[in-house]
Amino acid sequence: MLVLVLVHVLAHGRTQIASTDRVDPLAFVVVLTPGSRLCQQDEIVPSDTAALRMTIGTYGDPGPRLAFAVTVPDPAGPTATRLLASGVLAHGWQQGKVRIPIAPRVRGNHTGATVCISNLGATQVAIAGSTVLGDYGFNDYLNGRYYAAEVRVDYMLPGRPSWLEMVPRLAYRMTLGKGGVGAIGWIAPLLAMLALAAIVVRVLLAAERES
Amino acid sequence: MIRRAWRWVARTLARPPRAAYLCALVAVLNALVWSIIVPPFEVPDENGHYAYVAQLVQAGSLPHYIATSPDLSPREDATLEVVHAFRLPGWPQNPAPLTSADQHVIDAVERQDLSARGSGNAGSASDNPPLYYALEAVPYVLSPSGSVLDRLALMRAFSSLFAGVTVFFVFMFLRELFPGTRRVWSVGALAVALQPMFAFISGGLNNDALLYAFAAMLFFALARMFRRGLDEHTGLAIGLAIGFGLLAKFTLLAFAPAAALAVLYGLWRARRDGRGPALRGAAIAAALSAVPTLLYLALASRSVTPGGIGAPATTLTGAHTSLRAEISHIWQLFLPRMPWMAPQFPRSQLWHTWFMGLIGRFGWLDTTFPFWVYVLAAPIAVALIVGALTTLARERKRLRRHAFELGVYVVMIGGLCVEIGVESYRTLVTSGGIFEQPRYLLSGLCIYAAIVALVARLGGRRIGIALGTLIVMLALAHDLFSQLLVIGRYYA
Repeated sequence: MLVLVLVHVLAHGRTQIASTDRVDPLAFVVVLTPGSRLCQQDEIVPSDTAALRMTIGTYGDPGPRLAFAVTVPDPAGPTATRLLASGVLAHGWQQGKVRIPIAPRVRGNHTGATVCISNLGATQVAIAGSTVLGDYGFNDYLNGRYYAAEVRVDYMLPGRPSWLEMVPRLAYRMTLGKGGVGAIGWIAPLLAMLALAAIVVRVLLAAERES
Repeated sequence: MIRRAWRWVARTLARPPRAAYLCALVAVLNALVWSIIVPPFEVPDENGHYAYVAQLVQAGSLPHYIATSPDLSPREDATLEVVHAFRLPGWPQNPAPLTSADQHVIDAVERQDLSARGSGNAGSASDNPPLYYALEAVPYVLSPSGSVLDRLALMRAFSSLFAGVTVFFVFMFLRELFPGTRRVWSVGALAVALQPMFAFISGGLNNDALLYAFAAMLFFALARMFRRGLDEHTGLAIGLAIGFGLLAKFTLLAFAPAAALAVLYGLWRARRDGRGPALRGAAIAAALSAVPTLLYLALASRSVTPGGIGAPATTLTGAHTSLRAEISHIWQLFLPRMPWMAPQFPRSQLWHTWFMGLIGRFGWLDTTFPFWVYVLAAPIAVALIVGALTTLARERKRLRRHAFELGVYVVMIGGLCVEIGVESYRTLVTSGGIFEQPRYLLSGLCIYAAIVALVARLGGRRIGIALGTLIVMLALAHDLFSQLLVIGRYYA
């Protein structure tokens, strides 16, 4: 039964993040009026990003048309940028945690990226984030002027991968940020648990024999 | 005397069956797994514990609490920043580093030659006694690189060894308690070895790991004294467990009154067989219990090793307190509120803090199972308790012979609850904070193991074996799913 539960859980698909900027969505910190544009600089956009996810409020109305653009520094010049990916939310979306598909799918990690959101509709929206200034190291500009807030951006993987499909990715992630032990980040726990299970069985069998 | 004591220790350690060592090995492996899967600094207060060891090694002095500045050492602070150590606690949707870009940022910080010497502050760990940190100084120094992450990994691995010591003494405790039923020793010890919260804490850098080991040693020493009488050897074991346990964490003080009661009982019981060895045993136990801590307190206050025992976080100066409210607070922290008591908590602590916490609340208390898991676990826990009580009722004749011993264990657990309750109340009235955490109850792991062992004694050999196997398999599944929960929380 345990195995069946495990198989069911592992085969179940759900949306998965490629990474996130880890800004705590403490409150709605930016109000984007019609025609406004918010840009957040210094983001790290991870490889395989196929969508952005943000918490956006619409004051109960159907969401207005929003355009999203991810740009990165261009080697052509110190101020030059190039479009990495973009996407649009058509009018009528529901407020909450909103997934915004972007294309093309991002290849490779990109540091120093800028994520911009433009309100192309007729009603305003609010975006969740934090106003603890500079806490996360991002710089935000509202209509070209510095804005003292940071918004939460999650970078999403394409589709709804199952846990089973996520295993290689999770195994890789377990090796990160751990110093030298990272090299054995997933193999050592796996081997140790197998050894542990074998010892447990052996102890139980010995206890049965002795009693 | 020392030679005799050593012979006793050697005899005691040589005699345990192989299963005792294998159960200890299971505990070490399990704690090691937890030490690797939990991201750096995501075990409670790990930043402070690391800073304590760094202070001992780098400055040769004890740390002191600095309320005005949270800074530790430049090297540790920079590492905490890039591994997002403080962006994860309380935000389960914030993962650990996930991409090679994150890793490059970490590598860049590790390459910088930042100072490992700190401000002297070790945060919440500053007031702890030094034994655990002095031992952890060994892997800190032996780490081939000066990297904070390498050192932490090695220190965590070293801490995992204490899980093995704890389970070894749990096994020995059960052997004293149930000398005629060998199979339950392994079942109880394995249930502890596979307890996820125990493995999570022991696999982190946290002085609770050493506290659990000394607490289990004390339970074993007392059980041995109740069966073999108080003499120099049992006195030595009791004294070592309390004396050095207090140097690991002052929490062990909760067990001191019950241990004193047990030693007095040992003296009284020895009145017929000659009191000489018992008196000497009591004297050794008392001296060893007190001397290490007194020495530490004297040294710390005379600033021979500057620092330590800094400003206690829970002094009651200026706070509005009442004994009645404090008693009510302690009661409600563990038991249902009585009609005449003013509410101290918004919800049942027995369920939310202790039961749910011990089933699984990992990381900085922010990684929990879906609620239905706790609901599913409740009848299993109730069945275990009913099973244990049934065995006690069946064996009431034998139990009557050990009534005083049982009373001592009850006083030990009661002492632990009162100590947690007092600290909880003081924290609440002084800062409005919450002190209680499920890991604080793990000093009583021997009693948890005894409950499991009692259940495994139900219904004769065949049913007992089946029950024991079922309990261990459940414990293994619980451990495995807890690990998957943690992996999902930090890496997905």
